[in-house]
Order: sequence, then structure tokens, then C-alpha cells
Amino acid sequence: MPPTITEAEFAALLARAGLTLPAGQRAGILAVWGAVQAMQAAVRTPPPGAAPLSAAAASAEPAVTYSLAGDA
Amino acid sequence: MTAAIPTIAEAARQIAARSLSPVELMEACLGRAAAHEPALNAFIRLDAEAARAAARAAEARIMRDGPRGPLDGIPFAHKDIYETAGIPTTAHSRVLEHHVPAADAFTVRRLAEAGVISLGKLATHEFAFGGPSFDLPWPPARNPWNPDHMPAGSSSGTGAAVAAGMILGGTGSDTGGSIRGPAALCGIAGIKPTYGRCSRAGVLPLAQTLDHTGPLAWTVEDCAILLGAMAGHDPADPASADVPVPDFRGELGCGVKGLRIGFVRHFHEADNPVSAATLKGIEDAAAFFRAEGAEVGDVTLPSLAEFNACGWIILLSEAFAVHEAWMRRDAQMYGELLRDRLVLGGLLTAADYLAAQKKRLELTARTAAAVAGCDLLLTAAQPGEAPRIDAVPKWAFLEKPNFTIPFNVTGWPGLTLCTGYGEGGLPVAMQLVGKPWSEPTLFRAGDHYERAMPWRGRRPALLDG
Repeated sequence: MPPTITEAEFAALLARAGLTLPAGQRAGILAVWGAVQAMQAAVRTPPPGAAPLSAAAASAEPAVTYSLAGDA
Repeated sequence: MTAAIPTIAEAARQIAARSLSPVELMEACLGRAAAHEPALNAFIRLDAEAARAAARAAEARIMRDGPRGPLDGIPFAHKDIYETAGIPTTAHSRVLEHHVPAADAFTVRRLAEAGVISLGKLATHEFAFGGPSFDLPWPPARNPWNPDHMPAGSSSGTGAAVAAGMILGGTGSDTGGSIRGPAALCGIAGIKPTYGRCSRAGVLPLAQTLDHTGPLAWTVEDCAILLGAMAGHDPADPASADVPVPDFRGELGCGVKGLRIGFVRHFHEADNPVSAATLKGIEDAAAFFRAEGAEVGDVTLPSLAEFNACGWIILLSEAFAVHEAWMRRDAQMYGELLRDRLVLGGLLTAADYLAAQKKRLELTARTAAAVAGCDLLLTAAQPGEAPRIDAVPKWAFLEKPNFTIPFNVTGWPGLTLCTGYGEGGLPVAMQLVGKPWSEPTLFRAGDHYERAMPWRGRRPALLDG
């Protein structure tokens, strides 16, 4: 599926990552970026039956949590 | 000729009975390697003289003291992301072309203590992600069933070398299917154990929260034997679980009567439809299990697309974090395929990664709820036979969802084994999946199926040439 960002927006993503790519390589990766955007959307899609913007969803404990419970 | 290649279990019995010499067994493997390695490129480094010397030493010790166990004197090799003291460990990459580790990986040490004899280091996709690639210092491994085709990856050399009888078993790693894929396309067996069952310490990472280590071998029983040597708690790996190591062969021979098998039909019929031969193999396996007394019923899991989105966002993010410094210093050191794939991870955000990790917990909970009444799951491992090695798209993983990454996301154990052959004469396979820490039951079902089928009696035709 085609990406929904412009070449300039894609260039900004590359710059933020600190990556400098030749034009051909950049174009090839931009061409498939739409598939990654679909994945970005999929991981933000709530499970069946869940409200998308509920307080419960926002406050759910993140999966990556720092803990010292084992040292207590 | 091919019937002369013993399984690990058979070789162990014969070595213990002193009817098979470890030296002769090694010579037979080295002979097959000499004959077929030029066509298969399974090895990055093959040290025949060191293997011969080790086999002679093992034979003398076994004659004196008896074997240490079923792996003593067994020809073996490690995927070249497993660190080996004093022996280059390259990840099949120019980046680490001259990397010589000071110590063995935990699993390398455990297997050596069990008595395996290494022939060398095996080809992999570059850093277990970029392949098959033709712009690296070593060529990609090829499939022994037809060298014009790929053996899958990333444990490509292990799959090829086991199927070709150059080794009786080898190590692999599995972050999205890299043990189960080569096992499927090379017509052998491979187990990705439960996350935390085997240490990853000393194994070059791809994505640490998805990485698993495990074995590939000709049979399910051989995988059980190898996993017994590899498994165990290792404080050096933060994900290593301090759980008892069971006898992985403990349930072999118990049949499948009473086992409840969830048939994840939508994975391979709707989410990513498989070839006719693959579908037939899976359907026939389901019918076999039913006839043998198992209860087989359809179950519905989250879709392959959901699992793949979650798994690939995590994998790409973590892989870029591993490679960030090298990528920024000189990305041209990588092969094109890995370099371009790694870039994707650099473009993701922290919010993407955390959303994926949160999704992972949700998918695992939904999976556990959906299969609460099951002991095992059955589905595909690959969509069909191995494709031609020169026709694998760079972005294949973005085009169609794979069948294996769901169980890297959940961390549940998955076993791949042969179910026959497709129209092109190459192997097709199924995937059996267990609940966490249920590998003995997984081996029980896989072994029961495998012993009832004729597939283990057939090796790649090139071995007859």
C-alpha cells in the first residue's frame, strides 16, 4: 500500500534517525513505508469491544515497566 | 546410501553399544560435506581436521569411560551468531568479519559438555535478518532438495547441513521464525522453545525480547535430545527462566489419545492461504491425530496481520537499536538487504515500540483465552515449498504475514516438522504449538506423527548422486 507521507516528511524521519541514504535507497524504502504505517496503526487499534480513547486504555500499565520489586 | 545416515538417537545407541565409531561417523559426515558443500554453501567455516581430531579424542574417551550421554561424539555445528571461543563468529556479515570471541556462548558450552563435535560454523542470513544475500563475504546457503531454491532463514546453513547429512544436528535462533522456517523448507525438524527456556547469552542478538535459541535436527526426537542439553537457567541472560528442565523425551511413545488440539485454520486458509500440498499435509495431520484419539477442533486466534504488525514493529525497533552505531558509522558495511530493512526500524518512534509491546500483552491474553481448552495448536509453518533463491523479494516480510512470528510474540514453543512434498518435489510442513513450558507434550505429538509417516526415510536426491 502506498505511504501517506510526503518525500519531505520522509526525509525528516531519516534525519531524525541520523541516517543519510543515497536517493535510490531512500526511494526504495519510501515505497514500502506504507506497509509499516499500516503496522503502526494496527498496534494502536484497541482490541474488539474496547473503547479507542478511554481513560482505562490510556492509563493501562505499559508493557515495558521498570521494577525493583525483586530487590524488596 | 542415504539410509546410512543415522539419527542422533540411533547413533547414540550404536556408539554406546560400540557398534558405531565416532571417527567413522565423523568421516561419513565430512565426506558428504566435501561432496555437497560446494553446491550448498551451508558452512562459513568448515574445519575438517579439528573435527577429525576431536572425533578421535572422543572415541578414545568413550572406549575408556563410556559415553557421557546421547550427544557424545555426534557431528554438529553452530549457526554463526553463536559465539565460539577463539573461532571467528561473523554473523555472516562484513561488519564482524574478523570478530573472534573470547568465550563460548552458554549453549555452545552446554552442548560441548554433552559431547557434540563441531565441524565449524554455519551460514545464516546476515545478523539473522538479511538474506538470502549475494553481496556478503560468503554466499547464501542453498536448499539440498534443490539448490536453485532457498533453505529459508535465518538458520539457513543449519537447515541445509542437517538435511544434507553433513551434521546430525545444529543450533539455530528464532526471532520471527528462523528455526521453524528452515526446518520446514529443508524437510527436517526444528523447535523454538518457550521464551526463557534456553539462554541467549553469547548469541549475537536480533531483537532481544523476541530472540530464542534452539536446535534443528532430522527428527523430532533428536530435537528433544538436543534441547535437553541446551536448556537451563543462565543468570547471564536476563530473560532466562529459572524453571526445572524436564526430560524432553519423557512423553515420547505415549501417543496422542486424549490430547486436545486446536486447529488454527484461519491462519492458513484465510489470513495467508497456503499451497495445496501444504494444506493437504496439515489436513492429513489433523485427520491422523483425530484417528489416534486426539480431540481436534477449530480455534480462532487474533489474526496473523495483528500478530505480524506487533512482532515486526518490535523486531525492527530492537534490531535498529542493536545496529544503530554501526549503521550511523558506515551503513555500507552491511549487505543491501539487511541495511535497507534496518533503516525501517530507525524510522519508528518510541511510541510505536511501546504501543507494540502493549499490543503484545493484549494478543497473548487473547490467545491464552481462546485456547484455554487446548493442549496444542496446529497450523502452517510456511505458505508452501521453498521459493527460488533468486526470487525472494527484499520486502517479503511486509507483503504477507508469516505463520511463525505469532509465537515469538507470545513466547510459546513451536515445533515444525515435515508433512510431505509439494509439486516441485520440495518439502512442506506443519507447525505444532504448545503452551509455555509444554515442550515434552509438543515432542510427544510430533514424534508420534513422524514415526507413523514415511517422510524420515527420504533424503534429498543429491545425496544419491
